Amino acid sequence: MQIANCKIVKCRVTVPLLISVFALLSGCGSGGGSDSSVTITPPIVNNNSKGGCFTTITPVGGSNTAISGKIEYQDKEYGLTGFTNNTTNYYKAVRYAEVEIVNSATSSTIASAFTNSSGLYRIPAATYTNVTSAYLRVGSYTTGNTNSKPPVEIYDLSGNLYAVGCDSTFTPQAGTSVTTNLSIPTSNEAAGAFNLMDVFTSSGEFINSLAGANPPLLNAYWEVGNSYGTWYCSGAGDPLCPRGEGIYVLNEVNGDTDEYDDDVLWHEYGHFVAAKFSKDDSQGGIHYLDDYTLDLRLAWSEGWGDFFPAAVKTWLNSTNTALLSTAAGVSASQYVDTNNGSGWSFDIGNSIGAPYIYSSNEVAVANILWRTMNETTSKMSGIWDVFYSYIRTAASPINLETFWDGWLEKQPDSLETIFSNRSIFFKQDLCEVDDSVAAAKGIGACGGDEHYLYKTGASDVDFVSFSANAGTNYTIETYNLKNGADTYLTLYDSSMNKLSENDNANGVIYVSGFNYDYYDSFGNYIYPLNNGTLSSKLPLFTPSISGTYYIKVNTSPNIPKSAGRYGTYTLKITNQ
Amino acid sequence: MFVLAVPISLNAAWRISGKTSGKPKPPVQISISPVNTSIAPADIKPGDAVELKVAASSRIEAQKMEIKIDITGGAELVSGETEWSGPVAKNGEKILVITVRAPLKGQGQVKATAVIPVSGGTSFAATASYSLGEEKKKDKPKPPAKKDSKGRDIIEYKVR
Repeated sequence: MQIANCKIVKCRVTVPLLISVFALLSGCGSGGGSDSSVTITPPIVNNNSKGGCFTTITPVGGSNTAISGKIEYQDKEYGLTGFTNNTTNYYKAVRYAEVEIVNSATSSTIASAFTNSSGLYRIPAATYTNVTSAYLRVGSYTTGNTNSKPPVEIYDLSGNLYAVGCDSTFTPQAGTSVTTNLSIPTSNEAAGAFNLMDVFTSSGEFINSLAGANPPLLNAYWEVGNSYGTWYCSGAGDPLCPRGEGIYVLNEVNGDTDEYDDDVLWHEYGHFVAAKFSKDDSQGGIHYLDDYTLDLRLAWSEGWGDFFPAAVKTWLNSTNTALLSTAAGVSASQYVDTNNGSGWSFDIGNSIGAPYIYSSNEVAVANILWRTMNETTSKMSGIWDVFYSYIRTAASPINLETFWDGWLEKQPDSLETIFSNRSIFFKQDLCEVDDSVAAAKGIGACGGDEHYLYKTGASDVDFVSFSANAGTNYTIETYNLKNGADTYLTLYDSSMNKLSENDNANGVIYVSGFNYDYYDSFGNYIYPLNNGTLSSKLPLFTPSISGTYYIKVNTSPNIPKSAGRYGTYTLKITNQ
Repeated sequence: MFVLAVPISLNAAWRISGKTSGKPKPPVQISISPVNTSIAPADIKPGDAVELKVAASSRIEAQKMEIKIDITGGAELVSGETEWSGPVAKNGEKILVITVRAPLKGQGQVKATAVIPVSGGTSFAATASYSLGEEKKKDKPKPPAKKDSKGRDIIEYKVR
């Protein structure tokens, strides 16, 4: 045993000789005094206040050992263009995690407890026989915690949970109180796992505030060098999800990493929430923020994911701002993704105009949800009510139309203005009512030829009348389809004899698994884009008799799952 | 016209059962690659000069796209511009060509970032990196797995 350069202090401690020698030597480095009331302070292993293990042992009498302390981890603050330089003392509590006291000799756990919301833990006083060396360890999981907090487990890609242990040890002496604090710096290989755990715990608490119950267990997988990507996997069997369902987090060496990108993590958690509390029909895949031709199911799912970080941060702003990692001035509606020293951001609250329009664009969906949360009387609880109570049991496909229908049924405020600002018109157009020949309006009679396919609780049908001259060629078509519209055209004479009909101008009838609704060899999901692909065009019409003819427009009976029941179209009749 | 429903891809089953929902992508992309496409990173020896193409593309029209190239780790710029700023058309692309010399020791890095600032708290950016020179030593191996109090496998990392 090496004796440090220290001053001998006398302590009246009724312990065996070996222990009293230890207690004597523990006075090295600091402390003083001459009787048993003196606190014995052994050398602190790490003199920094952050980033390390810090143990103090205090004699308290009795025959037990009490162990307590605080666990924290170093986080990274982010602004709109990436991480800020505010990291030195940027530590947060490791909440609801299991702390173990491990016997150094046998590697067995001799005691355990869970940290609380401040990262504090306390192991009840106990007697530890035959334990001469022990250390503190904390795990990257909250399962089993005694505070009934959301269950979260963070694994590496091999299926191992992360843990961080103190390199220094202590002897759990009888009659002492041991305080061991652990502070995990970002330089530690496991540090990222603790930010994942904290971020997912926050969002789990947010869901608990809405649902009245914790979400089910979330498994997340992260590892230095995981260059696959960040995504939520809904099930097993996908090579991109080697450990089955859960959230996988990117970490490219010298590249993009996401373990400290809280908005990215919450985006994926939003998908987890949709899978567990609602219904999500998205087929997944790559999605660009500027794309307004997306599968409506994908746009809804990703729009929900884009909105979810803003919802969590809004909640944290009112309940516990200390859990946020955003720099001053960054609003809750701003989504940030850092990348190798830089970063990008977009604001779902203020991204206006094209291309952030239509129910086929995820930013438009996110903006609608953001404004609904902020501008309606029922706010987030109203959104949750529709998300959980309506969408969960609604008929597929689930998209923004489903949210609209559910809100109309369950909530008092109108969303018409919020939707219209995104060029989404789920309402009757100026030609309504035009559901029959008798009610048909002439072409262009309603202030334009743009129509909305929309009817509450039923399928909308639009009849348009026009006068045709014998021997003249007429082209009749729909175009400028928006918001997932899929039209079907039928031409009638004045006696309602069907003269012609057309589903898609491109001649394709979309059949699931045949010419859409499958994945190609590159893993891309194939579907007809919502960019006018589903427009209709009747065969060239040359009437033999001049007179009034009628065009019926309705949603196609062969509508692909990627399109919508509603939508906007323009009818055009040209004569040659 | 009626078409029979015949599955065209038998690999759909695994994909549909394990759907992935990834993070959103900004409308700007950037890549770094050798002009001579037959060159692989492993072919570049210490001290070699290699011509690199930095290609930034934008899915949206923008009044300003900024490209910045940083060269670190001992790699040296031999020729070419490392900054550019200008308008970009929808689906447009801007290419910069630079010649970089790999360091004699260690691994150099070429990092390129393209940024499109947009009003209202939005700025899109993309970053790409290219390594040249001696391959970096692999990180130390993981500690061996242990068991926690519930018998689960854990990897324990130490803090001093």
